[in-house]
Amino acid sequence: MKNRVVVTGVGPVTPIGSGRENFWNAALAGTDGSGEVQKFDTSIYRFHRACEVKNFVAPKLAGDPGPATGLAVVATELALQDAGLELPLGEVGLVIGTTGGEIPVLEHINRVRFQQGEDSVDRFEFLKYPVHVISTNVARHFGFSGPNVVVPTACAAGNYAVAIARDWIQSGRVDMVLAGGVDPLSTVTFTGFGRMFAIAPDRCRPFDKNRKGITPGEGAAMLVLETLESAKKRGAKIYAEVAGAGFSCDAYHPTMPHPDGMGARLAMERALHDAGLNRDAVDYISAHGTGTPANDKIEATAIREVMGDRASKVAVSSIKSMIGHTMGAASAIEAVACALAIDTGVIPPTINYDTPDPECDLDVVPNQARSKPVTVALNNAYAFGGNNSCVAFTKVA
Amino acid sequence: MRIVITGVGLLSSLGIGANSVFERMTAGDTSKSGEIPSFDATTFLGDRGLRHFDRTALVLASAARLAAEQSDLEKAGYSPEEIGVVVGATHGSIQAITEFDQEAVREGPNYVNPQDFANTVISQPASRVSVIFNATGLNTTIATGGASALDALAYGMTMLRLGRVSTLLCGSALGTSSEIEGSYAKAGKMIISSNGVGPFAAGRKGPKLGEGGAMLVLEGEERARSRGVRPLGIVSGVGSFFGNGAAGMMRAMKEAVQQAELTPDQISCVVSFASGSLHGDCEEGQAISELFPGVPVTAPKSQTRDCLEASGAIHMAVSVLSIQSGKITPIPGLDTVDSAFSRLDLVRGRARSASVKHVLVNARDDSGHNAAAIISAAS
Repeated sequence: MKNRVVVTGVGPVTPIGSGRENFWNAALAGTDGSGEVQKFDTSIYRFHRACEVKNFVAPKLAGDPGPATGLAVVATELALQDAGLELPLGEVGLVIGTTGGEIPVLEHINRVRFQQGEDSVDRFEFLKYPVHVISTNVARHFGFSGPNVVVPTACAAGNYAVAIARDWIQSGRVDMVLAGGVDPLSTVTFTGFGRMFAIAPDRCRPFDKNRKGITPGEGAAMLVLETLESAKKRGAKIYAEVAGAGFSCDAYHPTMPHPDGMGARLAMERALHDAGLNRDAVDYISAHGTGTPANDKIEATAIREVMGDRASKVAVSSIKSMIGHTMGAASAIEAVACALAIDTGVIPPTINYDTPDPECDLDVVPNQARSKPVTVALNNAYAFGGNNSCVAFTKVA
Repeated sequence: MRIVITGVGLLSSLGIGANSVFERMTAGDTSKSGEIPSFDATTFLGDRGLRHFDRTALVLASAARLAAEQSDLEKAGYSPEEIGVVVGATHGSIQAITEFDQEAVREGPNYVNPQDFANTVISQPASRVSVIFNATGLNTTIATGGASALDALAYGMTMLRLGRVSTLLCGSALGTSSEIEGSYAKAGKMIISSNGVGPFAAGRKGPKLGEGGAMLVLEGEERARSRGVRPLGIVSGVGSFFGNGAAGMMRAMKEAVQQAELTPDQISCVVSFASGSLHGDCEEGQAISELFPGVPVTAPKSQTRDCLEASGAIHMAVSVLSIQSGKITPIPGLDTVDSAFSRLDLVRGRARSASVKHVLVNARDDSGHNAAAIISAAS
């Protein structure tokens, strides 16, 4: 018998608020986290808005690591507090998903080089970059001695992390894992999406007919995952069960999704199958919903095909309308949203929604949160390279 | 379910193709430069659609092609959804990130080539392999520094055992990179030189960066045999452990040995991760001598240089060839062994003939990530 895996703590660090209560209150209020970029000068860009984590106080950490570590440490701290856990915890696993990781370190090196010359680059600064140091830093800070990996699978990384953690716990390798994702705001990302004209000039409007792109974001979220047994034993609050996960790859294009949504469909079907669930059971889908013309149309098509005649009855929302596209953190923050939707019976809205798009004919929970019992929630996340993922969360009866 | 290896694709600074690399290794050659000689990816991948690949992706995809050809993967009857790609990667995209970012700094962000943006994403090389092989089943990249390739293997084994996919292209690659080499050299973590002694040697001053990559085709034994392909080896155990020093490494190695249902004395040879690093070699030497006393130990980085995360994949490929040929590759140029390793049976000078049944491949990283795998002979 495989161990059942449940979510007992959440630590979101997001552009609309950090910690469970702040984040969830802001999400249900439909808060727009976007604003003019503060972290760098955008005067040389065509685009000027991003979703930044406001008033973030980076923790003082040994070795002065990069900003991804700071976000991940705070998210982990919040998740542990939320789960009512105290250090030392010993053998706890750690999986962190990310797109760029500590890429601001490389960006800083390149600017020092350009402005002051190679000799002015700190000789040890590069060592803060390699992506696996994030989970090392976090594990050392909290003393987690369990299995430890970084999963750099771009914008679906949070879902990968949750799924890997679930595999570890199900197999009995470890009883508790902190899993999630992180990405600080990056000029490389801003430049890249800007150059692809995939950034919204004003607001991110997922599924809206006039959607023009993403709003780049930053953030982190960590979730405490443990066996149902250990959660019950310590009397922990259980938000939801991680009931299934499904993955696929479009094998189509480096940045564009498959036009028929083939892989998106397969990932959802596999997650349902893995969870032993029928599509009729699904109450809520947290969409990848980036707000780009291509993604939202294709995702809507895939959802309609998987859900069949129930498609219009399923609530589908994209909290990226509020928090922006936080890259590797996105599906971790959205996993938190799924768990909290199940726990509280309220679904966060898709904000900035004005004009329905016949090609995205879904109930996108426009602009207002909705009270509705949620027993099964799917969390969609897709990535560059056509990497598709879906994690199924269910209510623990 | 036993998971077997049915294809091995290998490129390194010693050459292209598993057999030709292994031949040079058993002859005791070392690479003169860190780059794959006469590497032309179009030989393996055709001349269309490669323009926007970065060097790491070219090496990875070429290794995948070589492995797939050996295993006859494309005619094996697997549907696209049954095929997955799992790659270990940590540093592979640094050159692409730096070039993209520097262009943005120099020319302005509106003048970069948007096609180059995809290469700044660490999982991009794995995704490109999926496109080439129409592998729609799964695409995952795992990052644990030096341990990446073996941690990717461990993850891939789980996926195969759980039936999430039926076959995998699994491995890692690292394209040559002045940025990685220069940055690590600047921090005193690597040396840039054609001279200098290597792994386990007295007076070693650090590793040298090498280019290379390897991919394995993994699948269930039954399916492989039923389609008439000969298993080249069995992945009989994997282990992974996060923790510093020799103790951390020993935990990963022990787990691999246990999973393979073996005892340490049944291990035919240890393919070590030793790179010429002062500290890392010491810890690893200590761990190996405690766990595997009297077992022959080799260090392929003495010949291929240090290919960082790709090393684990390259070492798995070398292990398969060792099993096939009954030869353990030597550590050339090891004239004076550091006295710290006097208890190790290091394979010095020339290749050693032996009955190679079970090879332990070890991988480590200064970060505390350790992973190990056991490749066994297919009966």
